Amino acid sequence: MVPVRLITVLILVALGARTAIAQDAVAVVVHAAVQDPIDVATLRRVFLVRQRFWSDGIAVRAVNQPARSAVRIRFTREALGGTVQDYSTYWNDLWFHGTAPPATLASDQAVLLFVARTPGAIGYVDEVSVSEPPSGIRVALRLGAASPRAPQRETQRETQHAPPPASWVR
Amino acid sequence: MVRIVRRMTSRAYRIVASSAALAALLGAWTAAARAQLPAAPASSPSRIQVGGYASLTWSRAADSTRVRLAEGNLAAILSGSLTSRITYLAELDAVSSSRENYAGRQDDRQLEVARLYADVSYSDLLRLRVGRFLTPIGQWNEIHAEPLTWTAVRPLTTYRSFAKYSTGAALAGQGSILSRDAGYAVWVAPGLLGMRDDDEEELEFSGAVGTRTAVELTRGLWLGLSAAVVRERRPVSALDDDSLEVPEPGEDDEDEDDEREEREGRALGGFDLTYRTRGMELRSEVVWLARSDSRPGERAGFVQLALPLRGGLHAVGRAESVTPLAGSRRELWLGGLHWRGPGRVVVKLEHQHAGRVPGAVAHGWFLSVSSLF
Repeated sequence: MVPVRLITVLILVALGARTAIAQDAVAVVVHAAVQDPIDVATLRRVFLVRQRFWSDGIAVRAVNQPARSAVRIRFTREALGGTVQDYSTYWNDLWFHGTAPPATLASDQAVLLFVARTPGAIGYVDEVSVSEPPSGIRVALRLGAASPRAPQRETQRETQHAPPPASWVR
Repeated sequence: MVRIVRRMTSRAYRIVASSAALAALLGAWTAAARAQLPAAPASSPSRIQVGGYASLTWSRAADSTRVRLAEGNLAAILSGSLTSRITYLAELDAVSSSRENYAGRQDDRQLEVARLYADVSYSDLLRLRVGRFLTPIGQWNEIHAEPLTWTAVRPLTTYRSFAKYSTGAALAGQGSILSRDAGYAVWVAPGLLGMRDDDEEELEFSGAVGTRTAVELTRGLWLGLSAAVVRERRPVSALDDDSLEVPEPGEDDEDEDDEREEREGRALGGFDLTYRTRGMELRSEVVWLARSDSRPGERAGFVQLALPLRGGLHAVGRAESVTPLAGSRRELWLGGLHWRGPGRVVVKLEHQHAGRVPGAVAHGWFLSVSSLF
């Protein structure tokens, strides 16, 4: 009886730990042909549609995940700073200039498929989804990872500031 | 007879435009409530995007007890991309009346193409825009839609000294300097001779060339600088006695045409500052417009603070000072509330105090309901 309970507890702990990792780590993935170095500042420019081209001239094709998904919330906090809602005014301002936010795909699998097949694509997924990266994809950056990547966390904290004015030479 | 027909047309137009704006507002509100969407539009890159905004503004002048519909505005925006490097935008505005101009423009009505341009991007640092676009002077003018501004009453600083729209070409780009975002624009508006309407109510450029640059100085702090040389064509109402710009008797002996159409270019300069942190925004814009002679030019500036209260509610305060080309300095004080509701609906209630001789500028209470859609 005791071993069954023990096993159950261990399974639950393991599941909990997996969930914790899933909520903590975000992997930024790019199409394999994208060779630009990706840091948090680049992510911010790309996902705020301030950078539209990679250095080789290929158009950036950024994709988001649903606004209420855990990975989107985590990505927004780590890469852009703040919450998804903090950026609503920014996107409204850009909408006035005919600029839409990055397209939304519904799941990690959809993002991986899109990024693998689309030149210039960039997206983000739960880290567990790229434990074995599919072909055509490069994992460019990990955000909010556990202790071995703690220095990155410091860099990200610096970027947590208010959304920029969208009227900035549009 | 002509006057009666014109008045009927004007009245019918106001009713239609205001009703359409109201219908658009209700539609946007209902759709947002039904879908429970986040405030940001969920869209994807496409060849055609259709959107717009609508607003209704009521006012009660400081010296009156009458509440009236001051403005109904319905704007349709069509945008998209033809390729990854070529994009376009068109905006058609239907305004039943406008406070944003010289005095006496109570019965004005417009149905106009506000923006119509194409962008060709060579890179992030180099983009060519051709067509009719928002004049890149200051920040407010480029984000002037009612649902996007903190107040219903637009500061005089953001439109009085220059044309809100320019028709011509612009080179622009943005990049990163020392890990700080920065952008620039160089624009030219040659003016469209022969396409003018003598009844025009907007200040227009009959020729202008300018530049603007903006840079993120530090986290949350952005600075913009604008400079231009402009030749302007002012509306007839700008010369009316009740204009803000009241000439002293005998001050100017030039004829009216010379007053309306400038022969010489004037230098214009401006800077704008925005600081944002924790939901608070501090913004300031200043504009100088030189005169062709040795007399002092036009100077205008404002400081505005928006403080978060709770939910989507903000308190907004603004102080503005305007010294027109002729006449003495005017000071304007504004205080109010700004509420971002469900979806993208925005409600604003504010009071602007215009000091002495308030008839020439917006003053009193203003209530505005607006939404993007």
